[in-house]
Amino acid sequence: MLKALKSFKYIEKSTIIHKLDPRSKILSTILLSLGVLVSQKITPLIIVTIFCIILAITAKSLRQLLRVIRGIAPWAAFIFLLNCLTGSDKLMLSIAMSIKFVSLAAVFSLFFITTSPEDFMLALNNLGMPYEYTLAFTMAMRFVPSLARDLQTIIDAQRSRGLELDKGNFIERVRKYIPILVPLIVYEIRRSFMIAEALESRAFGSGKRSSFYKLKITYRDFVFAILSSILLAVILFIDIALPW
Amino acid sequence: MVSKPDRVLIELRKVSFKYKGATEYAIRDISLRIHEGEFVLVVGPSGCGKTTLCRVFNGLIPNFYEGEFKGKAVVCGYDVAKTPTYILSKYVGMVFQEPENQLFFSTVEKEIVFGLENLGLPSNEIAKRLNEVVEYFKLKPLLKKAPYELSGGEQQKVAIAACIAMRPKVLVLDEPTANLDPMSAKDVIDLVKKLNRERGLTVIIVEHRVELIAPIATRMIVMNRGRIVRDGPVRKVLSCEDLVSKGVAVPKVVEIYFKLKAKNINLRTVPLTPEELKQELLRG
Amino acid sequence: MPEPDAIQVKDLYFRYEDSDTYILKGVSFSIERGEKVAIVGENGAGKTTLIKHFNGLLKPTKGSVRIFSIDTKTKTVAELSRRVGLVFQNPDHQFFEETVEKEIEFALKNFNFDESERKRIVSEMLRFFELEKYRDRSPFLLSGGEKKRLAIASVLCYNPDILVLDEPTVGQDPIQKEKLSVLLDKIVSMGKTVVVVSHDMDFVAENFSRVIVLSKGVVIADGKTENVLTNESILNKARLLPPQVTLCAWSLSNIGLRRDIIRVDDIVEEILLLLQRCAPC
Repeated sequence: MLKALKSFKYIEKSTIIHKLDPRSKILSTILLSLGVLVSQKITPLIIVTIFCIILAITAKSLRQLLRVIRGIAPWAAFIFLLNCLTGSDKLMLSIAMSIKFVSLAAVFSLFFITTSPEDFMLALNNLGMPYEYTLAFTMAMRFVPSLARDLQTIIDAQRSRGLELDKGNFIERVRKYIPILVPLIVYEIRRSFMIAEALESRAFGSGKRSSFYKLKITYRDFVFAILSSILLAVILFIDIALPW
Repeated sequence: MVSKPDRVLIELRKVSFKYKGATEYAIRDISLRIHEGEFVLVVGPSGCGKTTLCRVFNGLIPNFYEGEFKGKAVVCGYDVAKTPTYILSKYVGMVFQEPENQLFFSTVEKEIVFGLENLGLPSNEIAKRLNEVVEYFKLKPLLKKAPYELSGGEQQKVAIAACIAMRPKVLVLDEPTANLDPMSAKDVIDLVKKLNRERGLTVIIVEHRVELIAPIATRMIVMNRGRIVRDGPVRKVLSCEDLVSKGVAVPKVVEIYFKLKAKNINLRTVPLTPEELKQELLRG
Repeated sequence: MPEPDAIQVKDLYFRYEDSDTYILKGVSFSIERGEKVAIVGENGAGKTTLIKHFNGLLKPTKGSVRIFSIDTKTKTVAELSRRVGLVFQNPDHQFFEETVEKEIEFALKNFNFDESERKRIVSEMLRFFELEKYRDRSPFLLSGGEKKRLAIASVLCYNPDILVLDEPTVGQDPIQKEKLSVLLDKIVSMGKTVVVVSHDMDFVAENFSRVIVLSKGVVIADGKTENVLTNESILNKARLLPPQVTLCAWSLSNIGLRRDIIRVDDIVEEILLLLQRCAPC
């Protein structure tokens, strides 16, 4: 799970996909995830997944995407088993449900892999959300890997003092998370203070911010949006017209 | 230097501060004046109030941190008790110990631009200043990189650059090299020195690596239990034999000086660098 | 039969599962029982990764790490930690108890010390680290230096055979550093082994006779401190600076001082000798 979180880390690359306007990427993400959510059949879901993989290749980010998929694979398998066990005898539907999960994850992670948090933020600003809110979001994204690392260090430090997380009955095990969660929470609160301090020290909060980066929609964005819409249409068509 | 030598930038009169919920004052009765162009080294044992003092300089105390504030602090003409940090940050740049918690964005460029946007500058002015610091700090190769991909030394360099782009009069650094390896620490300190010497930037630095700062700084302030216990030219302060017992690290070259003195070898002045030690020995 | 090495690292390669860059690339060395060794190197050289192998938090991707000839792959972290005490760099990564006292007691409980013994050890630790007056205080309210001491106490308390400290001098004033160095000597004199990772070249120079230099996942030097820390090419490669005493020695070398001096007392003695020799002329 931590690994999957780490793969969300945005890496700046100079590809067509990265350069697309975040708004068109948001649109496409919404369209595709809608398609995925509606669809009950294997073929359209596989098409979406393949589409994501092609985009990831274009964005030179295939490995990151695969890492996310690998990370959630056990969950997909779990969903599959659950569906089988709960008596739904439609094997195809069970398969479709797990692929649905994978493709949904692919659609969303592709967005975050190829869109810098700042671009996403800028898009949301342009769509009317106040800067303070979007900055909070960027911060959250930015500090996920740091949080994951802190958690790991804390676990290491407590294990070094003899804490055995995997020993004892259920209640004992739950209690063993206290030595891990307390330092983590205290540390992150302290970190949030340090961050706030640093933000204020860089003149944040004056209220009369200017914006250096401007979003610009180009013909590429139109092409991308149209492509996504066509894909959605294809998904819906297959979903209605084909048996699987 | 371009500036008038005795312009007072920071003046604290009997400043005390107690954090909300704390039982003791973190700093007590601090009075000091800092002039334009000075390079001030602040030292003292951990918990002595150095960080609290730094927070007064850009108004984080008493505006951001709640507590009991006494006395008067004037920074670049502003009464800090009445001026929010976002205004003071135009005059006082602040660099913290942990590079990680002061760099937020996905590229170095965006990091530098952030502060300038907060000042509400127009795009052409932002572009101009961005170019300027990129040139000065030689950041071109790092510009599109993510700050977290950089080494600790590079990260602090970016943090400093992001401050300098805002053209402050004073740069306050709170243990900027604590997490850096020796060579990176030296690089960062050299950069700060350059800013002070070439641009007349006033520098206040809290630093444990006294041996790196002592030869550069013009003034040294020693704190203990919230008070200033020594304040003067570096060489004069380092001549006090009781610094180590007060919990202040002194450069090894100063230790050598005192040990020689104990053996009746009296050098004329306290050396601050190995070269000075040599000169002093040759003189004798 | 000769006594087994306290720590034996053999051709150790390590990379995290989800990455293909090796952090450690063929590290080998051994540390005897009763030795006091410093590991130095630039940030990112792999020092912390290396010491996490000593108590099995990380297991070698290739090669082996043996603690008293026991392969770390065959033991759990808890079993290894009982013998190898690892003190992390940042104390804030471990405090969670309501009081300083309980914080020290944590490891003792985990390692099944009985209550009377726990009480005795805790008092001893509090006294030794000058934390007695904070016994009932929250660890979070201590100053940076005090926290660091508490972190060391919370590991030293269960008396491991090997003590490994990551950057123990950060945030410590000279008095505490001096106490730390006395403590390390005391631990070693009890036949225990001490390994310290540090950037503090002066501290390393004054307190260690052996130093291992790590650079980019490889050991580039392992030897007597006065040889290693006065070797410019090694220092440059590992982005380290010589101790200031050494810089003084270098600057005085053309008037007859040895170049391999790293300790204050040694250089003072050498200077006195030099002055005596010059006195007649």
